[in-house]
Amino acid sequence: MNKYQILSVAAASLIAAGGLAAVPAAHAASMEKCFGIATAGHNDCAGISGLHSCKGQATAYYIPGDFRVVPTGTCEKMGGVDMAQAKAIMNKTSKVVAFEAKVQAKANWQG
Amino acid sequence: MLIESTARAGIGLRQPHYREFRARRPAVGFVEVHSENFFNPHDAAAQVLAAVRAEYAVSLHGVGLALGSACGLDDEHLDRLTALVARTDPLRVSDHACFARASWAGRGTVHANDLLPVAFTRGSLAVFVANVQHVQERLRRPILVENLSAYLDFAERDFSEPGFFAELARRSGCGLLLDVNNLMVNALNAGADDAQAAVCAWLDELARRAPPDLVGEIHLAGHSRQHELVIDDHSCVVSAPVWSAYAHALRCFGPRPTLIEWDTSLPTLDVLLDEAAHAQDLLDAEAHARRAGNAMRATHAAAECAS
Amino acid sequence: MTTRHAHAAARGASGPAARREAARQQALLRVLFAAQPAPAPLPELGVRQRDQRWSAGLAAYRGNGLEHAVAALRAQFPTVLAMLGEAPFDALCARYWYAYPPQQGDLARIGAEFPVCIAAQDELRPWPWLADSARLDRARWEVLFEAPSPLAVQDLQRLAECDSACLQLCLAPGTRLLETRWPVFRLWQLHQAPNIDGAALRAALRQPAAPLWIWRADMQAQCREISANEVDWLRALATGTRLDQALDAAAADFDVAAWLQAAVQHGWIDGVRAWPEASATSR
Repeated sequence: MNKYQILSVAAASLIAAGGLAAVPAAHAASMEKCFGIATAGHNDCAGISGLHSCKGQATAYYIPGDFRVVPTGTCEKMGGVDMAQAKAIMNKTSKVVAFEAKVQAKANWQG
Repeated sequence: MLIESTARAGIGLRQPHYREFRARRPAVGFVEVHSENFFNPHDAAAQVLAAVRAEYAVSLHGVGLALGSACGLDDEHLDRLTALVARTDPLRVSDHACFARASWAGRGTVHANDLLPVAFTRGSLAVFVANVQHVQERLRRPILVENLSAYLDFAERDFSEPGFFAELARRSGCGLLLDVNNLMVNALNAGADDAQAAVCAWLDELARRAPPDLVGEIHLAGHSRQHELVIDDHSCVVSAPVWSAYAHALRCFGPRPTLIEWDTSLPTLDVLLDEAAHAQDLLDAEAHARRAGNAMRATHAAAECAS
Repeated sequence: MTTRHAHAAARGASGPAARREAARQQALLRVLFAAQPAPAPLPELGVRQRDQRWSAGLAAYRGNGLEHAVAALRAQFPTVLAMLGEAPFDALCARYWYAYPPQQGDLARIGAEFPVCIAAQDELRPWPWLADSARLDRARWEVLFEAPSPLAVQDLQRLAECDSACLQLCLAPGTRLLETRWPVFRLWQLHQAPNIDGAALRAALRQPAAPLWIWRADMQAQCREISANEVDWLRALATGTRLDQALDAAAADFDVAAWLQAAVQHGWIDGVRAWPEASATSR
C-alpha cells in the first residue's frame, strides 16, 4: 500500500471502530473538573500599586538599568554557557560535543 | 417600586473561590466577574461561568473598554465583549469612566491596561458619549459606567464629577455604577478634613443633578494607605466611613444592587458573604423604611439629599 | 494569537475639545511607559498634583500597570519564572513592559514578544535555552485560546473515500509546532517537580533536542517530542498543502496510520476538506 492507501484504510477502520464517537467525551472536561482547572484571570480593577511592599516600591519606581537580570532560580543550578559556545551550538551541530564537555565540566564543578 | 423590594447584595466571584462556591451554592443576590477574564470562550473559566450563570444572576464588569479614550474603542475588544454578553445573558454590563488607549508613534495604539483618569471637560464628555453610545448600540442594552479612584487629576474642568456623570447619563442613556469606596479614596487623597462628609456632599450633588434611577449598582470595597496615598486595592473589609456613606447613598437613591468587591489578599468565602450580608441588611432596612410607609422619612431624606 | 493592529476608531468625538483630550491622554501614556518616572508633570498634562504628590500618584499608576503585568506573565511563563527566580523575572517583566507596551485591554494576551525580549537580553546569553523555554510556555498558553477540534465522521469518510489530490487535511488551531535546539520539553518536565533537581537538569541539557508538538486536550495543554519525519508531515499540513503533496513530503517510513489514530484521539485535526475549497480556510 502507498501512504495514501494506508491513510484511507486507517480512516475507514477508525470509523468502523467508532473511534470518533468517543472523541467528544474525551475533549469535554467535566463541569466539576473545570472548577478545579480554571485559572485565575489577571484583569481586575483593584489598584496594586505595590507601594506597600519593598518589592512593589522597587517596581513602582523602577528604572531600567538599575536592575540587572541575574538568574537566581534553576538557571543557577544549571550553570550557563558563554555566548561563543551557545552560538557555535546554534550554528554547527559538530560543536555539540564541545558544548557537552563544557556542561559536563560545569556539572562536575557545581555538583 | 420593584427595585426597592428586590435590590440584592452580591459578591465578586474570583478563581480561588470557584470550587467552594460551587460546593456551597451560597444565597447571594448575584455574582459579578471581570468580563475580560471570560473573553476566551474555550477555556475552563468559560465553563465555570456558564455553570454559575445557570444558577445565579451574573453581572459583567469590564476593566478594558477604556470608554474615555479619545482615540476611540478597540473594535476587537468590543467584539469579544459582545460575544460574552450574548453567551452569558448578564443582569448588568458595566465598565469604568477611564481611558487607557492612545495612539503611539510606531506602535499603532497602546492600551495601558489600567483605569487612567480623565479630565471632566466638555471634550471628555463628547468622547464618553460617543464611545458609550457605540457600546450600547453593539450590545443592544444600556451599560453602567463606574466612577474612578484617581491618583492624579486635572486642573482643567468644565463639570464637577457628579455633574459629569449626570450629563453623560442624560446624553448617552447609560447609568452610573456608583463606587462609594472610590469616592472615599478620592476624598482621603484630596486631604479632605472630613472625608465622609465630602463623600456625602458628592452624593447629595449627584442626587440634585440626576434622577435617582441613574444609579444602577453600587460597589463597596476596602482600601489601604500606602505611604503618601490611599490605594483602592480591594484588599480588606469595607471601612466604617464607607458603610456610613453607603447608607447615605441608599437614602439618596433608594436600595440598589450592591457588590462586595475583593481582589487583593482574597479572604475566605465566608468573609465575603458576611460583608454581603451586612450590605443586604442595610438594603433591607432602607427598603423596609420606604415600604412601611415611612414616607416622612423617605421624603425627608430625599429632600435632604436634593437640597 | 498574533499581534494585530488595534483599530483606531474613525467614529467618535472629534473637534478641538476632544483633540485636546487626545493630546492629554497621549502625554499621560508616554509618561507611564517612559523608561524613567518624570520628576515633574509635563505642562500639557494639566495635572494638579506637584512634587511629592505627583511622584506618588505617578508611581501608583506605573506600579499598578507593572504589578498586573508581572502577575499575568508569571502565570503565562511558569518555567521561565522558575529558571530565573522571582526578582530577576520581575525585572525582566519590567523591561518587557516598557519595551513592548500592550496593545489590547486584556492581560491574558500580553506576552507574545516575551521570548524575543528574552533572546535580546545580553545578561541572559549564558542560558540560551531560556527563550525557547518561553516559547514552550507561550505555546502551552496559546492553545487554550483556540477552539477544540470539531472533527466529524464525515471528515474521516472523505479521507477513506476521496482522492488525496482532492483533499486537504487541516490542523486544529489549538496545535503548535515548536522547533528548538534545546531539550526544553525535558527541562519543562523537570520543572514540574516540587523540588527541582539540579543534577537532572544538567543531565537533561546533555541530551539532544527534539521538535515539540503542543496541543489542547480537555482544556489543558499537552506536549510531546516528535520525530523529524513527523515535523516534515506537520509542516506540510500547516502550510495548507494538498493532501497528496503532504503525503509525498512525509518520509517513506513515516507511519501515517498511527499518526491519524493519535490525531483523532487528541483532536489535532480541524477537518478534512475538499480541495480547492479548503484553500480559502487553510491556516
